[in-house]
Amino acid sequence: MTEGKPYNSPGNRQRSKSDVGYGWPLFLAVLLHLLIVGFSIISLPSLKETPESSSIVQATLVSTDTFTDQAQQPFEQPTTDVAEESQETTLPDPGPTEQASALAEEEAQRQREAEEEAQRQREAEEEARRQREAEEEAQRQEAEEEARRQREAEEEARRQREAEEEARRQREAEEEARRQREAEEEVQRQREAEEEARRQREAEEEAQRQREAEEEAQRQREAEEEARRQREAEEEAQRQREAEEEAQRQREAEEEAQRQREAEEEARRQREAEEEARRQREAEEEAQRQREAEEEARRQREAEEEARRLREAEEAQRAAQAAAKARQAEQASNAFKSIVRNAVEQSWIIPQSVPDNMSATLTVRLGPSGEVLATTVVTSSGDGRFDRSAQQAVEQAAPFSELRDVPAEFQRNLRQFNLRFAPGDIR
Amino acid sequence: MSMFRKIGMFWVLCMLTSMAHANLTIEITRGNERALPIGVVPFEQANNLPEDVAQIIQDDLERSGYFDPLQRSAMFEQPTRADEVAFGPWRSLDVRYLVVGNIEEIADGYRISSALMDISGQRQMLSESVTTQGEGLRGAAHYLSDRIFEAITDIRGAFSTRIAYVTANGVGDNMQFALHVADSDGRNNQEILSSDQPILSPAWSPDGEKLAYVSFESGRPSIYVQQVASGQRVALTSFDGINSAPAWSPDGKRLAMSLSKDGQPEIYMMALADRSLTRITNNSSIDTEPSWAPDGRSLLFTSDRSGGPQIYRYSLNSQSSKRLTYTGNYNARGRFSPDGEDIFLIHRSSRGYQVARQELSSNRLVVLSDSTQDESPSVAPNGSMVIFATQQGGNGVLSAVSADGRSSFRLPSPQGDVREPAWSPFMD
Repeated sequence: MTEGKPYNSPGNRQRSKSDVGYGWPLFLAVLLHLLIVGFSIISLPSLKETPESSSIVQATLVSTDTFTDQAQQPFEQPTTDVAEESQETTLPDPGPTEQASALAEEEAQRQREAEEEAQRQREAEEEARRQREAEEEAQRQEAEEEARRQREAEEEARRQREAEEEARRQREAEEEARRQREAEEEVQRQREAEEEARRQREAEEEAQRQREAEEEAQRQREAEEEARRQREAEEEAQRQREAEEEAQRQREAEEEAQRQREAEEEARRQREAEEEARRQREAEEEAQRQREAEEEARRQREAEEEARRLREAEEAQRAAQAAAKARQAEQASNAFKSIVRNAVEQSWIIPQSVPDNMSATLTVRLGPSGEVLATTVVTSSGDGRFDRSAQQAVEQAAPFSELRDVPAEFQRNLRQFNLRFAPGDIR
Repeated sequence: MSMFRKIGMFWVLCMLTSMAHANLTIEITRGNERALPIGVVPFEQANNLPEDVAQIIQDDLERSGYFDPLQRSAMFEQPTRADEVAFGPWRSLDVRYLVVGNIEEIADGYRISSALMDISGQRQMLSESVTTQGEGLRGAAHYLSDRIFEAITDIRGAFSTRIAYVTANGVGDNMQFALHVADSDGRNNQEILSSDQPILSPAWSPDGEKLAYVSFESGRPSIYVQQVASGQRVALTSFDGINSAPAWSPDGKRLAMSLSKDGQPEIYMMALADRSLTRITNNSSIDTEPSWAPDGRSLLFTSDRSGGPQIYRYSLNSQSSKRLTYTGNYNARGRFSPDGEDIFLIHRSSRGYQVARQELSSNRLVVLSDSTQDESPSVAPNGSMVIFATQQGGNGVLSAVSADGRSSFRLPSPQGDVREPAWSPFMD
């Protein structure tokens, strides 16, 4: 099954190719043959009128030679006049003799038949020749056609070969390229592998080194441990030795100390006894002194108490006097203040549209009878109108003759005072 | 611890010492909230003089709300020169200040000599001498009022300023409108424009020489600028829709206004040099009644963007607006005080539309007027008074109230409906 198909399709393709290849030549060949036959039929009558042809002249000569020499003369005339000449010459001939004429006629008849025969033969030869020529022509044409086809086929084959060659080269090139790539990949892989191997080797070496280092470190540690243990052991031994020496020393020291303590104890007991005796003496003296001091202190306290009582009595007297004075002063001052306040408030005209928080302080100086000697602005409101209104209020309210009603000793304090104008405080 | 105690004791000692040195201090917390009693003694003058100068001064001072002049009938004597003043008797009348003066005829007019005496302080505060021609007597009187007012209150007097206002007479098709200019006391008024179509919103230029206003004389509103002295005028805008509420910038180079040419009324600024317009507000609500801050860096305007009319402040620097009024649901026609610290406006209270002042630092709003149909407040250049239009007996009249609301007065004005007052700047 699988083998049949590939065989079939190329066969079909070849046949269809040959159809294209031989169809036209065949048709041309048949056409050529028909044309030749056609030409040969058409050219037959015209052959009679072409006696100039050398082959016809030759044929006449042959037959003349064969049959008689007598009629040679007239037959040497140009072939175009052959029929007429022979008729003219033959017509007067029967006259001389019947026999001769019958013979001649027969001879002429035979000659004519021979000529016709020759003519037919010539025509047949001619025909055969033409046929041969046509065949040759056809053969040649066919051969040429065949050769052309062959050339084309060869050309085709050559192209195909070239294409195949080309394809093959391409495949080879691809193959080559593929091989090269594979080779390169292979090389790459190899390199990678080598790299990998190298890395692995390095890692292993590293690991090896590490292991060695660790082992080394381990060994060192162990050695150190060993050394440490040894040192500790030595130290331990040293300590033990020292402890023993220490213990020894301590024992000796204790013994020494014990001896010393006993000696000191003895000495101390002696000193204490002496001290005790001395203290007793001193205590007695001290007790004596204290008794004397207490007596002295008591006397002093009594004296001080006496003095204080005296002072307090004086103080109280003075305070009472001062309080009385202050009360008097305050009363006088308050009365005067109230008079001044009322008078000034009554005469103060607060300027229009002043802010509520505005205030000004004036210092007023009075004369002995309460007349205003001077008013000065000590704290301005910042508004001239306001300051002036305050000043004017004082001037308008003056004189403050009530000052004269104040006891003379307090008047001095009231002859100068401040007035603070602050309408916002109540508004 | 002991360190602190020592310091404390030291401090107490210091206090005691200073108290010992300090005088007795009396607190004055009450006073009279009334106008200052002043006496303006009639000036010595010829009988045929057309004006009573002392009376003009007395009226000026009284109108300001700062002074309570003594009746002439209560004056037991009438000194006319400073050296004739005996302080004692005036003092007993509780007069704080006294104005005396005399007028003498000179070659080409009059010389007015005047003195201000401080009765409480028993001294002369001011001595002024003015020469003028016959028709200048009122002006001279206002000038003296300004000097006296400033000497006592430290506030520049605004009696020599002028006011502009609009009158309407007749009914229906026979209505006649006129733009007037008068002295600040309402006298000496002159008509500078008349029309059978409404005139609105007069506004003084900062130099006091020109008035901008809206006139409907062409059938639709246009903003005009007119020279007060010559009457020469020019139509500045005539855009489609509303052309209203012109307001001069403090430098006089720009005019803020409300135009509806691009839809609803918005605030614009016109440079007077080339009449180029800059749009300031841009929203879907009505923005109108612009008014410049004294420093020219911001504008007040009324907008209903919050629903009802409220006053906003537009800052030219930040180019943004901020609402200023939150009291009640109607606050309009805002005007700055000259120091820029307050705004005056029309506030709708439970009683009606009233002139009010809002302190910008505290946003406290205080109603100033007693009337209930107030409109168009305009602030005197010294900030002491606000003039406004209100209704009396069905007629529009002009009224003024002091900036603290303590005093108010009605201005005499011509017959008919009087509206849209505008107080001029200082004329100097």
